[in-house]
Amino acid sequence: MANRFKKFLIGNPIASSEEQHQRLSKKVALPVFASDAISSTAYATEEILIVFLSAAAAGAAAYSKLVPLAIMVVILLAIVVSSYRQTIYAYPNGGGSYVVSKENLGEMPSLVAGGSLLVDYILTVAVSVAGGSAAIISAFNGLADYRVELCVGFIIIMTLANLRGVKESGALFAPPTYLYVGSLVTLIVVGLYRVYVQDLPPIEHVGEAKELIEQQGAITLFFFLKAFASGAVALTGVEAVSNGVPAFQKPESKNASNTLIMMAVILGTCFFGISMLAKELEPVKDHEGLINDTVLAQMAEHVYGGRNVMFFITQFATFAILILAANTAYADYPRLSSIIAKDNYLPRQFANRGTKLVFSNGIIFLATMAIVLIVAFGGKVTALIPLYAIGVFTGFTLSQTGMCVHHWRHRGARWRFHMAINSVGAITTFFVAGVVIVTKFTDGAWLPVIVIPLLVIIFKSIKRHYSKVRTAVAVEPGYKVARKTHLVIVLVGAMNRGTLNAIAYAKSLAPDRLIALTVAHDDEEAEHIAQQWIDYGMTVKLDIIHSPFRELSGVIMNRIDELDAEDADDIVTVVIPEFVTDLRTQWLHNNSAFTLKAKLLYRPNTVVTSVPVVVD
Amino acid sequence: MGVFKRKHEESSDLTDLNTERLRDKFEVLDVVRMNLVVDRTPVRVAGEVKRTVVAPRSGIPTLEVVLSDGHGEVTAVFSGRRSIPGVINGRCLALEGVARPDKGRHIMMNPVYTILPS
Repeated sequence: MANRFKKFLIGNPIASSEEQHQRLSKKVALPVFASDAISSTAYATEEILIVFLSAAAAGAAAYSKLVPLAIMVVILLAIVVSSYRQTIYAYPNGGGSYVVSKENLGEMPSLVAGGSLLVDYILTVAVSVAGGSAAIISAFNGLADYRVELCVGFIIIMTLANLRGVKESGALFAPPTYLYVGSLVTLIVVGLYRVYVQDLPPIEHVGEAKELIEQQGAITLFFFLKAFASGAVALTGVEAVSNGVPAFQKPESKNASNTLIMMAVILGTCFFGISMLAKELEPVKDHEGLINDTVLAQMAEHVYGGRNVMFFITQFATFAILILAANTAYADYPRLSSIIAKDNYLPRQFANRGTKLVFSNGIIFLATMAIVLIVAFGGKVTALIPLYAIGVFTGFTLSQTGMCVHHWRHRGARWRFHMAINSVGAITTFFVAGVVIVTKFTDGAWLPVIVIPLLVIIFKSIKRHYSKVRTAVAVEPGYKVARKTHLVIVLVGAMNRGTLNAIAYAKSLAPDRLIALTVAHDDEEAEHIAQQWIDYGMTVKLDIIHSPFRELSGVIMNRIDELDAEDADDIVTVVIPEFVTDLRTQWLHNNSAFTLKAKLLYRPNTVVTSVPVVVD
Repeated sequence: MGVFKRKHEESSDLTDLNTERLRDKFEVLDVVRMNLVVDRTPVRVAGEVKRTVVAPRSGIPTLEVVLSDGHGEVTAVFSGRRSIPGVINGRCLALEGVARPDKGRHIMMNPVYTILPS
């Protein structure tokens, strides 16, 4: 029954041999790998504004800082992208931060990178889904009260889709991504045209929004950096291309590198354009979420002159790309966790593929954690953002440092030049990671600062355990299995077919000693079973144990201990007859057998065997 | 991380309780404590029937009972019969005879027995 339900939910199993490796052309690869990175334009500008308006209370002065910040972020993007181009050429088989730092920097850095990335993928899901829901809520304000439910619903749908196995196919990814880029570019072009040519005035605000914009706080360096840290989330997802180099058509590295540059150009242009538009239109957003509409929605409404078709297209495209961005984490997280699990740093279950050839356990874990985050932070993007950027930039830093070491070791053509690029990348991203931690520590950045080292400790202890077990059970040359005295104990409840079957089975085990145990609670019971034992002509000794306190498992365990103690080198097999009936009545049987089994499970040198008697 | 080590429970509270109950019951009698039984000399012990063993049909019919007084155990084997009225689980017996050792146990063949009031 459980199987049928599973089949209904996630479909028919796929055989291992049916796995397909499809190669992606640049046109298709761009939406597949870039949706995560490009989607961050949907909330990056907004997050910068929130810092200025809500935290610094800077009011209208905030807008003058948007463009300089956007330029800084674009420069950062250029640095990171040129660094990652090198990774693509150096690791044509896919060079995620974990792989690069494992190969070049050693165990600890790779674990930090792995931990950061795992945390980050969870946050990608949470942030993107929260952002997608925000886009929907901006279009339909009535849904604002169901923000968390909406987010959780989307995560569950996505999880099911991924458990069924979503191919990273262009058919699914291309339309929303191109639609989003198209609608964003349209918004920017139309918006800037209306501002500069038709003299469109800024958005007029009322109520709380008006209060926010009329504040007169000063923008200190701290708040400027904090805003920069928020804007830096635009870079999340950039590493996706370098992870997926093998998926490109030949020549892989060249295609991947060009795709990366395409992505960077789109991302940079859109982010810069949105920031410019925001400077002119002065949309408002606060950190508590009192204003429901996203910055993007406010601007789209204003530019298109109301909630018309263009507005809704923009909102839906935003929603769609954010969901896709979350979906990339569904592909990346299980893949990374399976790699880490194969290195014995995570439970082996994460390396197992499910019936649909996807890493089911990784997917389920990712979804669960994302839901926990969404619920804990009320489904608000702003609350999640401080947690987000740290992992990304830690990953960047380690990956770039790893690349520096790589160049130093290989010293190929123009290695000094390549190393210089990666060094700049490493230093810059390290600086940004530091800025994020310092400026957002109290906003929630402390969480990854605790979680990532904790993850590293967990990774190490899992590895230590696996190594310990492997050493303990390793077969050394000349190892011989010791001969053990075999003591077989049959537990008897009453005389029936089950008991006879169990005893016949026990005899077939060729035991050195065979004994039957039963517990009698009163004289009549004891006499009755003794008489029956004789009448049935049993050839095995039956111990009728007295239980002074009418209890079962304790006296049986004591007796087994006594019997076990008689021989020093024995192995004990406990045979328990069990009735197997249908699901409705099964609970009426074997309850004491179940308790005993649970106790015997932890007994050393003990085998527990159930002999089933099927009753239809 | 010793806290997490799985431990097999050697004895439970009930076992201790039972031992104490038996000791209180039999220490007042003028008999040898079962842990002090010397093999191959006549002894008189008393205890409660902890276990009866139903032997297979083949061979001589025997009744085997194990007595405990909270200090030790003595096994009494009665040959030629499969059951004795009154010699059943939970009853108290006094035995007189000579014990012989067998795999660390004291075995008394066909001892003189007295059924004691419980």
